[in-house]
Amino acid sequence: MPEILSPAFVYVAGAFAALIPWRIPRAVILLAIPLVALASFVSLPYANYDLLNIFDLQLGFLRLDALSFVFALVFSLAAFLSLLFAFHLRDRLEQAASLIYAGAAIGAVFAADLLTLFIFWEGTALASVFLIWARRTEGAWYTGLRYLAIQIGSGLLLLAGLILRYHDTGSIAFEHMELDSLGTWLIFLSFGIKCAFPLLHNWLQDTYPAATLTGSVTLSAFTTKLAVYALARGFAGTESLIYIGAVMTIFPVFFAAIENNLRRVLAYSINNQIGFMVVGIGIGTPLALDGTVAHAFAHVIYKGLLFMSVGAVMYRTGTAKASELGGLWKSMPLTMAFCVVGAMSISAFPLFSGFVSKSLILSASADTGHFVVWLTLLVASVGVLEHSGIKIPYSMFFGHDRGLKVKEAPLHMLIAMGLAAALCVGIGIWPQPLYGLLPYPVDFHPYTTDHVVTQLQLLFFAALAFAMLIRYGLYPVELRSINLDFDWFYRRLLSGMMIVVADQVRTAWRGLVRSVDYRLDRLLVAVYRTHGPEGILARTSQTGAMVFWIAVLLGITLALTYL
Amino acid sequence: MKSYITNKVLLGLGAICLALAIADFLRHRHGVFEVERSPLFFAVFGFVVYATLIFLSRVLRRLVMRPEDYYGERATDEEDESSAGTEKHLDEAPDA
Repeated sequence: MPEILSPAFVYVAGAFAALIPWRIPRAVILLAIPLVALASFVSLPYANYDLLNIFDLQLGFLRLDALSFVFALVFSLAAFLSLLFAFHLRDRLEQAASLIYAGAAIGAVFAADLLTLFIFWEGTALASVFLIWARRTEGAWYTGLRYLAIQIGSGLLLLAGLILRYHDTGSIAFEHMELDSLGTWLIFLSFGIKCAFPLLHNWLQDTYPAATLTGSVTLSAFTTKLAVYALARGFAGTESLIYIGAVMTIFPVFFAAIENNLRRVLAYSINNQIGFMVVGIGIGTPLALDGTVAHAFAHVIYKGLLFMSVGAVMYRTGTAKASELGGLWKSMPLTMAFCVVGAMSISAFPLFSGFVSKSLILSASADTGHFVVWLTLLVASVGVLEHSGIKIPYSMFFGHDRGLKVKEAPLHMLIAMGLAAALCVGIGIWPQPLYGLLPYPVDFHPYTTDHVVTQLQLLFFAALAFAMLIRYGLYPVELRSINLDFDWFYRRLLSGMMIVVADQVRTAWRGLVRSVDYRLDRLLVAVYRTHGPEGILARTSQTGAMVFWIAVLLGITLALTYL
Repeated sequence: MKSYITNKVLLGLGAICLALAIADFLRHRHGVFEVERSPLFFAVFGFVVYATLIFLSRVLRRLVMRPEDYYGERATDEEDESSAGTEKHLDEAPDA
């Protein structure tokens, strides 16, 4: 068998290409790396490669099966598209970080054991924080620190979980797990943090708008989808995931509707979309899991496309805030067209990719009789249309014309967006190749009259509601603002409490030091008094006194002896 | 300021919706749940849910909206966005 290495190492080695001093040759070589890495595994038969036995621990760097293959494939595509979108970049640190990040995510997907998974899991955290720090501002520095604390925390939970699991079962293989021990719970929680479960989700909205505009395209692809993969691998059929996922689809909808920063709207939208996938994992039937995998595949591409379109607008206009944008369809018509393709894909319009992937999950939830969950997902589908399908393109390209005069996006950005848009439409029109890659055989036909008509009704009547709300001035106006979310508890309440506690501790410490100082002073004064030059015990008569007392002692001894 | 939602756009959307409403009576009704098979369920659902979402969001906004500098310099919200790598910023920055 030929020596095979995880494609992750191709990326890590490729990151050295960032040292090339000439900008265009460097960018071209960087662009080739995802393709080389893809070529290294794309034609291999499904098997476990690169097994290693260290200290009785069975490690595996390349587990190739249908589940890992689909995720690695879409990650490779995402790496290529985001590097193409960032072709103009001169920041080598960011370029190297993107490659290592993508490589670590692919390495984690191929990991056959929890220890390898842990190493790459932390790798994604460490590499990706540089996409935020690449902004090089004070705010980005602190945001990066918050991100790192949470992501590294997730990795440490995974490490603790895997150690406990090894202790319990004697194996570190990354396989299906049951929530029956502390170890698996810790692993579940670790995955949940990276997957941005409700209340663990704020790192996503905090960091993605803080990254560079190219960095947020890269960020959108990997971390959360890696967590979806890990949950699908480890916890398929875990019932609680159905409800966690359902909540995830709903709550971001309200925040996204009132959010002004469009990159943050998209970050909330990631929550909502990941929620659909988590529901699929929770249901755990072949149809549901196929739906999750297909939706993750479609999602990486259309979400990347939406981030790219916002990034392109930001690149030209200097802002991603809805309150500052509008009317750009005239100056950026191609970006507008690609953005609309992304918006229609995420909203699951027939003939676009979201339609053929999300339907599997909705259908699986109905088939298994989860009526409330099904209804929730339907509400969430309307929500997606609201924030990603309408708000994103409307506020940038239509809405209030702010009289911005800018050029169309640069060519390389247009090509990247064009390729992503072509994939969205391609998958939507011709889903069979994607269905063919899924872990289980798919017997599902999205294009029935019934399904197409009902979906179009849902979307167009919602769009009608939007148009009427706008027409009658009831739609929330875009305002320069932020909205409090759960992160308020640790960014304000907890940090406020820390400040109070720190204050108290400081006061107490000072009091303690002062009182110790005072006592020490008094002690020294007393010692000085007795042992100082004038002190009673320091008198020169001391020697004489001792001799006197010894003489007395000897005298008494003598007297006693002769008595 | 000019709104892009003119009466024409509203009428156009209305016409599409009307066509879809008519198509509802021609479709072959499948579906696991009874509501899925009831006439115009998805149309009414889409419209009502959308409007409700927006009204609830407006209520939420009253509770959670804060000025951009709320988190101060430890967040990027009030920073100049050009540092995220906009054209203007890159033209001015030296080669990294």
